[in-house]
Amino acid sequence: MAWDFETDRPIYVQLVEQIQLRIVAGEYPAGSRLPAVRELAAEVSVNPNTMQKALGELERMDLVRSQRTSGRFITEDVNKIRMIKENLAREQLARFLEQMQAIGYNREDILRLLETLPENETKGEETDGHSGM
Amino acid sequence: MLKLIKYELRATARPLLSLYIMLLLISVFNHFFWTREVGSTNETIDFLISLFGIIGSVLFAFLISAVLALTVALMIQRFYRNLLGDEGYLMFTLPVPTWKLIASKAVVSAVWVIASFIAVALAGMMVSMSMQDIFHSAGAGLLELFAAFLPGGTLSPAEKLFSFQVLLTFVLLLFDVILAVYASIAIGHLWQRHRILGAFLAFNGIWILAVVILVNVLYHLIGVMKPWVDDGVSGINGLLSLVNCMGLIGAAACFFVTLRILSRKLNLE
Amino acid sequence: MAILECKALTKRYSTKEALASVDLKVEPGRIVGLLGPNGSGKTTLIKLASGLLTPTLGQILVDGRVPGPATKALVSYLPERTYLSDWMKVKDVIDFFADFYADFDRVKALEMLARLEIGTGDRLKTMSKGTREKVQLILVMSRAAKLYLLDEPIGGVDPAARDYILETIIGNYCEDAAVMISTHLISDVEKVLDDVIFIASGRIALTSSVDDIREEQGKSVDTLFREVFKC
Repeated sequence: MAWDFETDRPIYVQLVEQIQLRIVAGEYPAGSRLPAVRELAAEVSVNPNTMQKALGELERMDLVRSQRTSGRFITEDVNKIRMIKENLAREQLARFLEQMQAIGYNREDILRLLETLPENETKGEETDGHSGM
Repeated sequence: MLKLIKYELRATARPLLSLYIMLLLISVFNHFFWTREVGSTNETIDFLISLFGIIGSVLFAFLISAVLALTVALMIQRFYRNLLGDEGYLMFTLPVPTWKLIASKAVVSAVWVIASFIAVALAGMMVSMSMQDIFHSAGAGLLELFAAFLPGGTLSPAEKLFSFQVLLTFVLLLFDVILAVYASIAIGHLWQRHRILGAFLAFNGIWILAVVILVNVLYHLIGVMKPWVDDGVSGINGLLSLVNCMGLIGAAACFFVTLRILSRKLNLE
Repeated sequence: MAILECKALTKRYSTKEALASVDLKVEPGRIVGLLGPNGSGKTTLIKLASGLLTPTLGQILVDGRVPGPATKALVSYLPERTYLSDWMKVKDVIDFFADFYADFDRVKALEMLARLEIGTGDRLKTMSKGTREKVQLILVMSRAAKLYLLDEPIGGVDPAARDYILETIIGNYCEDAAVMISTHLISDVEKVLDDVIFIASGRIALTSSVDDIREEQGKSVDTLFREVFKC
């Protein structure tokens, strides 16, 4: 998964979103240890303070917790992760439905279209980052 | 400051030492050819010997001037490039006071000038005398000189003082020239568009000024000095003390001008 | 205490005024971008902080002190140009830095050089410009300084090297130290910065944090910069 930042919103907000995404997608498994702030920041190419701010936010959301001496860990609360995953999916779905409505497709049309698409095409070759995972 | 001197020596050693070695090798070469008897054993051999002798002499003269020229050139170039060129960005951000930067270069320049003179003198001796002669006469001469200075030696206190003062005069003169060169380069640095021309003019200006002051001082103190000179050796001591003082003041003045310019008016491009 | 502080700092040359009454403060633990067009006074400000220039009026303080040998020991400066002596090999330069700077971490420097496959026996004279710049960056970043001054570190450098440089800066982060990066290539550097200072014609046009600009104005610093400095 590539880190993608938009230019008009604060980076720490976007970091929170993208780390969240990786948590629910399993790239950062539940209970696993996160690298140190500096390392993580260098990986993503962002300011360490910004990364710290984002992690702080994630701690507030109880997605991440910090052990004073051993570092930061993803929460072990699998249910919470599943809930967030579902919420994110719902948000995407709502957005998707809105767009489809703008084109003029209703539920049945969408379901019909979905059935014609083979399984692996959802990866989408023409996607531009956000819609694919 | 020792660290600065160490790096300064390392930066300048290679070209100079190579020249010294070449000079000494040529001296040996020449010694071999100059001290041959040009007998009439064989005309071609005689001719070859003369030929090599001439080539050797030319090389010898060339190398001597090369050594002296390189010493001077290196002294100027080190100051100009290392402090006022791109390397200045490194040197002036080192956690050392500016005076140490100037002083370390001056010391190393002085060392090389003295070394060059010794090398040339040695080369001269090697050409005319064989190695044994050199060790015997020069070595013995130096030992005698040292012995004379020890307590109970052959020189009177006044004579010892005199020798010391003469030595001091030369050393101060050396530093005067070096520091005057540095000061000129620093003054030239102030004139942004014509730095080299400025340095050249400054150098001439400094020496003109120095001579004017020297002549004036001597002229005005003639009255005071006459009885000193009449006094004999101790009078000469007094005279030399005065000369030494002026040398010291000159060196100090150049040093402070350089220091002032490099600390306040530095403008590396 | 602010690592860098300028109070009514002015620098005039005979032909122009490079800085006019600049006030600013940089706190430790911040990465600050000094952003402005060419000739705006960025390099002058950095030279003043590193002790290469003296102010005409006003004050500049590093860690509360006037620039001198004591502050030079705390400041690690990377100029735009090559400032290493030609005759040295890489190991000579490392020895040099280790000799003069107590906070130089030789092991770290050697590691970083090894990772870039630069040998300690390599001569500076025979290196490409890009490699020499990387060597300089490594030397500067291997010091545990309190203030890092990087003058146009990514200008004229290929994108891969740019990433390496930014990664190195981030990886070197220390909350006791501040980093000041002067550049006009903002979009590449924006994500790495905490705060930005816009400077033009020797005057500070704006000081803000990157987050504030994005939150309050809904634009990136790069976009804002282009607006503010439109030709």
